Amino acid sequence: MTQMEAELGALRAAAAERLSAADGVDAVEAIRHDLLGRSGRLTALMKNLGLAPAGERPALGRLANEVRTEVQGAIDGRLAELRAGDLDERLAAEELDMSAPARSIRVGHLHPVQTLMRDLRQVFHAFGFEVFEGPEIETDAYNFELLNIPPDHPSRDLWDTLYVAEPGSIEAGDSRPAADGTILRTHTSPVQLRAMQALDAPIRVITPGRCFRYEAVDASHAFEFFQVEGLVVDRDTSLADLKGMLEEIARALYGRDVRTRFRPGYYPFTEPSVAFDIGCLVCGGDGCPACKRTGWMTILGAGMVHPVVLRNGGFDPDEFQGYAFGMGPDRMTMLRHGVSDIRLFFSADVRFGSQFAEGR
Amino acid sequence: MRVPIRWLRDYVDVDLDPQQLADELTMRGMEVASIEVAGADWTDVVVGRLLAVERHPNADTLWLTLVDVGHRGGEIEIVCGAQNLQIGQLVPAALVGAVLPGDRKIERSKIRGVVSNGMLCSAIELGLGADADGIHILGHGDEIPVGASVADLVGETVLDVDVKPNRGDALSMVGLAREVAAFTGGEVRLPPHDVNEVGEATASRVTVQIDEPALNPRFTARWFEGVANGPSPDWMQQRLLAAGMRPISAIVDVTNYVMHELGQPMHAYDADHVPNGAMVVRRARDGERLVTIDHVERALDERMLVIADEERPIGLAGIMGGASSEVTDATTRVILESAIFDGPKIRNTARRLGLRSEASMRHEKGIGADLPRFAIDRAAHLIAEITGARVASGIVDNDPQPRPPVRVSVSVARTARLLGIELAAERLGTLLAPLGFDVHGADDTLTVEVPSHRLDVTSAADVAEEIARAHGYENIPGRLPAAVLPPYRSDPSEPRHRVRRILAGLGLDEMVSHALIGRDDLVRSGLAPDVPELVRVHNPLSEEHSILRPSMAPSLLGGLAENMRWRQPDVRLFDLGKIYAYRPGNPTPRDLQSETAGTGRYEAWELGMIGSGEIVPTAPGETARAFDIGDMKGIIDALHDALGAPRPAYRAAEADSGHPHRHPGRNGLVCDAAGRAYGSLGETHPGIAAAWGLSGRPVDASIAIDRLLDLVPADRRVSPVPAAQPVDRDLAVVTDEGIAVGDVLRVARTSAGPLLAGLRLFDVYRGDQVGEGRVSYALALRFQPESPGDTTAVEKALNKVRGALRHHLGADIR
Repeated sequence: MTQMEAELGALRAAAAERLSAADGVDAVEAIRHDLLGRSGRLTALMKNLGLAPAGERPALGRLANEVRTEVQGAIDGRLAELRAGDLDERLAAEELDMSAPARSIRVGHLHPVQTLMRDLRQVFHAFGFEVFEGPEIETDAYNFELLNIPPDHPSRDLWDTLYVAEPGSIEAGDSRPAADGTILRTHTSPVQLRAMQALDAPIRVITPGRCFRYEAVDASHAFEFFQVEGLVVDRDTSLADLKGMLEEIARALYGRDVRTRFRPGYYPFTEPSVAFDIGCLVCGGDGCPACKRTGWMTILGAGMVHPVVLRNGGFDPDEFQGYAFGMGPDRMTMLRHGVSDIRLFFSADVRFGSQFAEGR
Repeated sequence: MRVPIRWLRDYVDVDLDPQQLADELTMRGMEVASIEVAGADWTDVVVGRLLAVERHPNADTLWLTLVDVGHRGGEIEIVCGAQNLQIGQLVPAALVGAVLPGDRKIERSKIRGVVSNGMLCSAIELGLGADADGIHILGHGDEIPVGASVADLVGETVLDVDVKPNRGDALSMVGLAREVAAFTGGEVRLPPHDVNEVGEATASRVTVQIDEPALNPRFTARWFEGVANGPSPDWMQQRLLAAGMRPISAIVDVTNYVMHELGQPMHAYDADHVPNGAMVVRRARDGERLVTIDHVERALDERMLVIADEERPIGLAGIMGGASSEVTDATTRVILESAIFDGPKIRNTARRLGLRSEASMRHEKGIGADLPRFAIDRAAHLIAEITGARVASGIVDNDPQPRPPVRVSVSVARTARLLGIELAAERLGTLLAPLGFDVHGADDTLTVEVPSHRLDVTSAADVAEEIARAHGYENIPGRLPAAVLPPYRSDPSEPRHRVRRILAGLGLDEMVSHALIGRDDLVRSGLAPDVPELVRVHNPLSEEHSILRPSMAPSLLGGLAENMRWRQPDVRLFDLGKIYAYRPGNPTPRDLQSETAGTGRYEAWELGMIGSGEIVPTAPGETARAFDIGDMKGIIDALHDALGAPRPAYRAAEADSGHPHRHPGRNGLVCDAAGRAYGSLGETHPGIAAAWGLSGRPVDASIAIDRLLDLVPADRRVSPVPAAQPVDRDLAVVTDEGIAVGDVLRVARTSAGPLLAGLRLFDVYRGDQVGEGRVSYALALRFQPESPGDTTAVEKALNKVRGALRHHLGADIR
């Protein structure tokens, strides 16, 4: 063994020993400087390679490079080891209590009746119905007379009416109904006429909106409420089509297994008229206070558009026919969420409103 | 209408149980709203015979009775407070352990020192009727065995039938019997109506003069002598009670009984108080007055129809009789009226007097032309039988001629097309016959003769409904939706729903408040309550809901107040509803462009928002901060961003901006790029907050939502993402105090050109370094060059901003 071989061997051993003893990044860097730096010991040894006899030089060169690579690797390895130790320490120091509560992000809530009306729109949209809107402040003509409800007709009892006052009459202490017959609409049915007058056949519209009635308030009656009315006018749509449509709507809203009942009803603006029930959602049909022990809940009224109404809407009743239906989103929302008092829908109390989520 | 099934069986056979009967009626359009079973909830209520009735030893108003209840306990002592007891009567005795309606349990009890082994029951205690005055007497003789169950005896099943307004004919036992017979195939049995006439002619005793036959198409009258008017028989009283009417006297009970039986309202006059038997049907004269039998004096006018004697009114036609000619126990001679009056006239009068009666209700809905005559004979039969009266010969009748039936022409094919079922002419006849319709013809066009009681059937569509009812709505096939669809139109309500969802995502809770508000709400909100622009209700339910809101402010402040009452001050609410105004003659105002029925009254969708309380600390140790105007602007900006509308500019509102509920120095407008306001926002005036009981400094905003939606470009094209780093530059802008910071930002934004990608105010400084009366605003501008390293364009843009700020606002740029 040449002297140089011996020196390289000793350096290799010393490096390993010193690195394992080094207790910090700085100590390792010092070793690197001492061995591999510009005037480091290994660097110096390699500079002296030229002094070795020519025959030994290749072997010595290989050995020197080998040692250099090994030392370099040992230094990097030791550094990584030490740094990992530092990070572990930091990570350990940074531990959080993961059971701590969230930062609160305020999420608002939509009104449940509005959400139900959105759902209705989507269902009807799938069946080709468009939304058509009309005014809440209506005329007696549109709300009643053109719908085949003449003045002093007994069926007017079905719609107790809030009359708009003649301008100035209240201020003058002599309140009287507006001479032009302005009222607050008692149902969305006047929009049927407005749609018929504005559109050509075939017509397929729903008319969601707010309605008003002279109605004493209790848990199930409100003087303001919402309605969604539907209207179809074409040439052949029949009572059988109405029945199929309503059954499909009930399945869409209350599930495929819902029981339905299609029976005679009465409205002056439809003939024949229909009342449409679903099996009581509370008792399943056995009879309970919610369904007055009948096992059924009426969710909408409907019928074939009365010939007089068709004519008032600009359609020849000998040629055109169709159906109309109306439903109460407030009551449907009460059924959907088990709300027992309709007055809650006009409350701003966030303890009520914040219970309604978007759902699936 | 209350239909005791036992009574119904007089006119038609019913083999169905009550539930089946109710279901069948409902499916035929006679909706049974409820089934009441009186007796179902009585247990251990038995027939007892009063053996002794003595004064209670310790109480003057109580009786100690001895009652024989047969095999149910023999002779027992019961204490009772009723005053109609007589030895020998058969009475309902609730034994110890019995349960009465309302879950009332009968126990053995000591009453003033005497043990009572049960209770004797009144009608109301049994749920049989409204009578609470005395014990419900079951009989006197041996007709009922003592100890028998009272439920079996007088228990009754009563259907409550919701007869629709067009079916006045079905507001009677016979009318409903016709419906039952039509679906059971049974026969209707009409009640006995033969009259044994004696003595002189009715026409010599009674005269009737009708001023306007259009208002009184038929009037029939009969004359009775020798009337002994006492209580009506027990069977009649029980039926009336079961049907919801109170027995009064034999004569009155007969009129009510026949009304319920046949549907014909009637009135009986004490003939001795109708001078000369002369009756006139005429309009009331303005100023005339009438005391009706409910002892209320009524002011009449010429829009009302009355029955009068030779001088003054003695009854309100079709509604209620007068007190002066009321039948009493002393009455011996009676005039009975059975007539048809004009429905709308009766309805109008009854409504204006607030006097709807069973009679007026039936007149409103219409009475078949043949009914008065039949009904007066039926009543005469009963009066003679019950009171022993002599019925005078003949009848006074203004229009005795039978009239031809109404005929309707019906196309079989058209009907089939309307109903969506297969139909042939014969089938149509088969379906209609049980309902009393005669069908003639065999081809497509048939003639249908309508029975006289069916006033509601006048057209082919009405006949179609009868066919559908007879065919059974349950047998109409449900055809799956298939249709020729109309061309697509976009949904006008969908954008509003998007706004709702965005706002919920931004943390606001939706409320739906009443459109009808009160004068107090306006006053509390600083709004004038007497301006002509308000739309007011003539007949409000209460003053609190009598005016259609002209602004969202009262709703918002009210909603917040409701939450604050429940100690919930940290709320953000929105309401997307309508506001309303009366602007006759004006062209449609721009802020009310939505809808109108053309009466000068306008309504428009408006978004109202309100927030108050704290921005809740998001982590322990952080401090809370009050919700402020900046937060509300943040919500408004975010709504614009989410919709894709350009963010609005904010500026101070003028003093008379129409929002007097706001702090005058903290009241702003939401404006578009051209400076036109389409919304407003501000902090609540401290005085207004106090009036509503609000704490803190609530901030509200109101936006004309259709105008905001108009700002959203229909065409939403995007630019490619530039492959160049953005360049950030800061400017310090020093202006005079009094220059609005909104103007600084607006000038900077509009002068910066298309490269400006962001603009942010990040500091405001007042102090020595800028001098008295001056403010320094620190702006951060981010530019997005089109190509890398294009700093010249950025510097150019920055210079334009500097120049514009100097030129327009006199600013120093540092």
